Amino acid sequence: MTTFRWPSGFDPLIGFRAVQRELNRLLNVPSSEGYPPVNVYDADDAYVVEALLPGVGTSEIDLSITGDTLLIKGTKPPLPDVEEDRYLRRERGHGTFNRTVVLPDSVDVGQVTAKQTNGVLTVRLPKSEQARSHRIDVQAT
Amino acid sequence: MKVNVQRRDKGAVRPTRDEDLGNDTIAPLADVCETDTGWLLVADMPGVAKEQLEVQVERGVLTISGQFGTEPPEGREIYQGFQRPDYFRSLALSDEVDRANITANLTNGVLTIVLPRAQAAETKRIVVEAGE
Repeated sequence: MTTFRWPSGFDPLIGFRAVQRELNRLLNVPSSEGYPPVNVYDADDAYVVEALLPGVGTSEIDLSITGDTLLIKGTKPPLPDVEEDRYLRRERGHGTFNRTVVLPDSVDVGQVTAKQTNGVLTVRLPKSEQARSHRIDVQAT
Repeated sequence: MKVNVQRRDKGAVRPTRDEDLGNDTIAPLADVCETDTGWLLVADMPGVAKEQLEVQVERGVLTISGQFGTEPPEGREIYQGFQRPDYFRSLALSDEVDRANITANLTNGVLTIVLPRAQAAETKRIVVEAGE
């Protein structure tokens, strides 16, 4: 699986990731770096964030937004009623997750919607009025 | 979040040697565990709906395949953490598995396959008659 790379090797989130790691370490916050996997899209009037969360029910997902930061928290449960020693193969993983997605600009918090289909969480965050691009008319003098 | 990759393949449900799947196909992550009545196989296949899923058993090989059906949202992708792959995985089943009674369920992107244990042949007691 290839990771998206900006053409010049520039990753706008790289600085943030380093700070987040350091903050988490200092505050002893367990951070599930990289889980859930997310995609972020810019749909002109809104940002759309997709997250892969198979097996996590809608009531087990804790979504919150502060300014331009979306926080996806929750718990992926292990298989019910199965003791550890009865596993022959264990690849899926389970536990609490905590993923921060910093968006390029501020969003209209009251208009954010989220839905989950087939284990894919889709969050639609309409950009705030300031964040939208505005056409500026050039006056001829 | 703990991802514990343990492989104690005891034989009843074993991965086969898959050829190169190709760039856009991945094997879904799976848990296999033993239950009181047989085995359970649970695979994460986010994005797959029933219409894009196929589960087959042929000559003792269980094959799971599916496509990522959920369309990407409109707009420009500015960060990619995952792609939209096809899923494919095959596992060999031993004779201990009752192949005719395998059931599967797809909920919220998770495929759960119940593999019942085959009933052991009943032991028949043979009466020995006393000879002359």
